[in-house]
Amino acid sequence: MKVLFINNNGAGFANHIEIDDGTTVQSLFNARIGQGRESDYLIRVNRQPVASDQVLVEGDRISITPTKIEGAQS
Amino acid sequence: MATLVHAATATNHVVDSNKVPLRSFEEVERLGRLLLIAEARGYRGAVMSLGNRLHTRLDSIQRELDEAIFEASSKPKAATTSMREIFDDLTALQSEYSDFNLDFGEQTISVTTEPIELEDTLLGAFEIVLEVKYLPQVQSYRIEAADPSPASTCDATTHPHVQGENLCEGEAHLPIKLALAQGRLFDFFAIVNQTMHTYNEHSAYISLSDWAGAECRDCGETVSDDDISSCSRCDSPICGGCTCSCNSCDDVYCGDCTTMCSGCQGVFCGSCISSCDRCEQPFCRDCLTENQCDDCTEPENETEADPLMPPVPAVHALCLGETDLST
Repeated sequence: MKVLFINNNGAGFANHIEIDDGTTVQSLFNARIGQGRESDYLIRVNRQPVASDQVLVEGDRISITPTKIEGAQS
Repeated sequence: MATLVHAATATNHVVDSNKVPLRSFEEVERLGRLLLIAEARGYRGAVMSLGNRLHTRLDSIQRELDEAIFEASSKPKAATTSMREIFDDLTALQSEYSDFNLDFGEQTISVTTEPIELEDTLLGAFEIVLEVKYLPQVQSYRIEAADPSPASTCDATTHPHVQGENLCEGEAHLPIKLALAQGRLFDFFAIVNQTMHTYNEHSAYISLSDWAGAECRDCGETVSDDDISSCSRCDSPICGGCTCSCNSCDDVYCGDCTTMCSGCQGVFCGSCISSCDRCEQPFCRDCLTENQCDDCTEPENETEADPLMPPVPAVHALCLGETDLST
């Protein structure tokens, strides 16, 4: 099934991706972010905070935004 | 408002306009017109020449178009945001932020952050104002301090990474750019909000360690309120290392409000120092005698007639014989 995956980390991107049925928020996070700690990210499904074991469904919009994004002087 | 945002972000050009061979198209059009005229008038030589030039130019256009198409294809295509998604973003923003405003007149969308505190420094809440009419430019938003608590040394710096109303985005630059280009409003505000909640001590306009306190007028260092004094005369803040204590009254002054006595080299405030009536150099009261310094007093004393010395002759003795004296 297809979901919209938005990663606001690094260069940032928003892509439609194919995932397996039964994929949870946790497993998608592990697959896409790898070694990152969940607590370092705001993870939203359809703009709402969710439990890590929530199963994703077709058309979901998953966004991952780091909690710490360093600004700069210039 | 969703319509405005959609209209502003729907024109996501994947083709670089500089790569479109507009000049070549114009040249082809011109040559085509000339060729028609030449054919109509039966100018066979001109027809041959123009035909060759037109063929060359068409070849060139084909190459330029291929390059433009290749470049556009190699760029990742931006996901387009539908009007429905923009509307959902606006709805989610309304529930996410307690202070959410749509200004249709000004065409702005704004949210106010929670009061931000970084490393025990309370900076207050900030309003993130997105100007829809400037979308999808990166500079289409501004940051306004709702309850400004600026750095003590610069009123325009209300946050270590905000100067004036501009956020220096750092790591957030690309995600913000992409979110704005795609009209992902919810992500845009989330990224800016998280950036505002993060302190990068290595690249701050003013570091939080220098946030409070004051800048020493003399050396320019920012020191905490506990280590700052104010000049007894001009009230300027001065740090412990730069304070000058008057040798006479012991009050504390800045460098500009003290003067060094030319006699004893002590430092004195304006009230405790005078100047010599004769040479006008600054001297403390102890170094003046009847308003004159020692140097100015001594020569004057030396010129006074000494009763023990013989009187100086009125006429020089050596030239006496040549002097035409009146009778």
